[in-house]
Amino acid sequence: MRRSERFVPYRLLAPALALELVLVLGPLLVGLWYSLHNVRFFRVRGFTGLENYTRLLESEEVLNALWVTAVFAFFALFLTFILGFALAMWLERDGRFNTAMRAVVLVPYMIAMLVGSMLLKWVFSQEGGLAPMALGPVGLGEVSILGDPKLAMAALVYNAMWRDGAFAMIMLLAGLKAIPPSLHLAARVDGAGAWMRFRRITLPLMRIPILITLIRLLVHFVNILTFPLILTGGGPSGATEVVVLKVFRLGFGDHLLGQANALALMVFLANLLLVGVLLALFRRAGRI
Amino acid sequence: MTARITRRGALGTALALSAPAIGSAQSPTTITMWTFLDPNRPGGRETALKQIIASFEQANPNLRVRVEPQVWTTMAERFVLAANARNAPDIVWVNDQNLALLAESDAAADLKPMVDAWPQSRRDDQVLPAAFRAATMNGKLQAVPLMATSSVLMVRRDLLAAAGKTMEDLRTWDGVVEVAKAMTKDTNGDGQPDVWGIGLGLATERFSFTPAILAAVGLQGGLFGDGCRARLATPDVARAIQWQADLILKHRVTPREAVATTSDDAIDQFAAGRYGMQVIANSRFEQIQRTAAGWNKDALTMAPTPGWTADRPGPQILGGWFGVAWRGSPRVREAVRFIDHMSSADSMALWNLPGQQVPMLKSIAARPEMQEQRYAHLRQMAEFFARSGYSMPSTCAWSRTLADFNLATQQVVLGQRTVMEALRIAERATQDRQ
Repeated sequence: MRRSERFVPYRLLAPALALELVLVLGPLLVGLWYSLHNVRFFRVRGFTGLENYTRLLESEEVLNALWVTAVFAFFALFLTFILGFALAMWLERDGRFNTAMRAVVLVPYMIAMLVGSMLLKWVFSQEGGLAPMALGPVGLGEVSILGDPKLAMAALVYNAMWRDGAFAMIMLLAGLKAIPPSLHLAARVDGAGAWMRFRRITLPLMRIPILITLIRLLVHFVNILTFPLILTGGGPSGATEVVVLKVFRLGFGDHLLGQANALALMVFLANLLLVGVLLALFRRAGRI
Repeated sequence: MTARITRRGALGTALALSAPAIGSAQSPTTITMWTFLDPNRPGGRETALKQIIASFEQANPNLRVRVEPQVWTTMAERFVLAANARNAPDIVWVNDQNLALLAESDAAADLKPMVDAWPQSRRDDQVLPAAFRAATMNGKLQAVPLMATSSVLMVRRDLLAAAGKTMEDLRTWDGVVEVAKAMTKDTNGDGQPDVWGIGLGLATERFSFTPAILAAVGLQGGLFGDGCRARLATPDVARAIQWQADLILKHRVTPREAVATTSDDAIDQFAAGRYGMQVIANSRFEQIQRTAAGWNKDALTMAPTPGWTADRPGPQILGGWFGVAWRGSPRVREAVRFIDHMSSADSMALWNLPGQQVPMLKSIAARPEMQEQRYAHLRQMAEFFARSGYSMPSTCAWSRTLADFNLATQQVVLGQRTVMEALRIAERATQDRQ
């Protein structure tokens, strides 16, 4: 290889790397710098070292937000993935009904997140919503879904399933379609039942689509803002105040931009850690 | 030859010098303004703004005003961020809750020279000179008041009469509870009230004044001590929070879902006829009348802030919207000129009618049309201001204290904390923002 050719890949990569530096690394460094300063009302007041971080870790509200995020992300990820996988399996075969159903399932995903959450807010609202109309006849008319901490969390998880189940379905459907039908046919000839074929053919061949779907959903749920901001407003009493909503409020409600950036960086590191753990788990299981 | 060259040179120089003037004559300077009003939408204030812009552009043919409507809850923060990025609009509207943010950001141009240039008669004509004082921070006039607002108890007179009560019964907070009890009705017999006595928006997102804050200020005289020291964990504030929580827990005159209801949602419910009373900014009066559904809009009236005793009315907390010019704007002179125009007597007349805002000038308040019955609510409001007007300290960061009150009420209603525990958390949160 000639010397000039050796640098071709780097030259080709350079524009993308430069963009990454400007759009990702730049804001990260600025965020890190802010997180080490006392920034109030959007003005830097002085260097504070790690004080923002220690204050956050001592804050009951922040610890609550971290717990709420963990609970939400766990249930939303588990249920959305199950729903998406079930839909993908159900609607795998091409046909008029399945094609129409895929379109129907995709509707919530096509609606803007904000609009979808507003729609669900109206559905769950006790004051003129649809849920009380359904609950009334069974004697639960007094139940306020959005006014109860546990039910509000359930509503938030439902919001995630309702919208992102379709996304999971698309991702997993693509994986299912890539499995050669001949493998299933051969297994059937050998007498393998549906469960056996699912375990021995479908699951092993779906490992990459499953991993991509899980990582994408996990990152999405850990960083969710629109659902709680619109549907529950983080309430009642902080029951659905996820960590990104806390970042938003620290920055733009309390005007404590130093603390907001510190928390944002902690969330970023948590994201990296979670994705790393997920990858390690898959590696350990020999799936990638 | 030389003369021809000289003549051509002179002509060229003249053309070159006149080019900017020709250019400016052809393309007027555009002033950008952020406000929550959209002049292209229906509504009294929107119509007033449209007329004010039209009259300004007519008087200043080289200037155009472009309104970029914004969500009011985040407008001030977005302005400060945009100013830091040197990309802010020339003018922004800021409410009283964000005056401290504005002063701290140093993003506003000093409007004192503009006001100093006013004739003495215009200065003397102001109904609320206190609003100018509130906007004067760090030695400069950060903003000029455009609309005065205050939270009042909006009441449906039809429900009040049906409950056998009168406006006199609303002079105290205990009276409000009794009226609310009489107003709460299950009209369709399904065991659930269809009309609740009093509506509350207790969410910590898109929040506004609630009865507890007014009641607390009435009892304690304020929420801050010297140096903006938060004073929330006190027996007086605890009494106010408990009173508010009891509307849901004990008296059952407010739906439990109030803990998850935003201020805007609660106002929508009020307009939809679900509540008999609610604490709402007076500036929403026209909007509620316009959107009243299932009830006669003329039944809407306002009561002053109740007190704890009948002989002492509660505080009428003064607030409102202010016009601010961005200090870093390349069109700051033009921006100041438009703010001057928006606060002129002609414009103030438009804010008053058709804008349905409380007169900000004495001369406007004295107009014959203001004596008509249909504008009684505006006269009423001016009376409330005069009787018991109270300003929150503009140098203290208190805008999110309203959310702290709501969170405390939520915690009490849900049985998660005692009132005093909840207030200690609220006090610490408010203190951290100072």
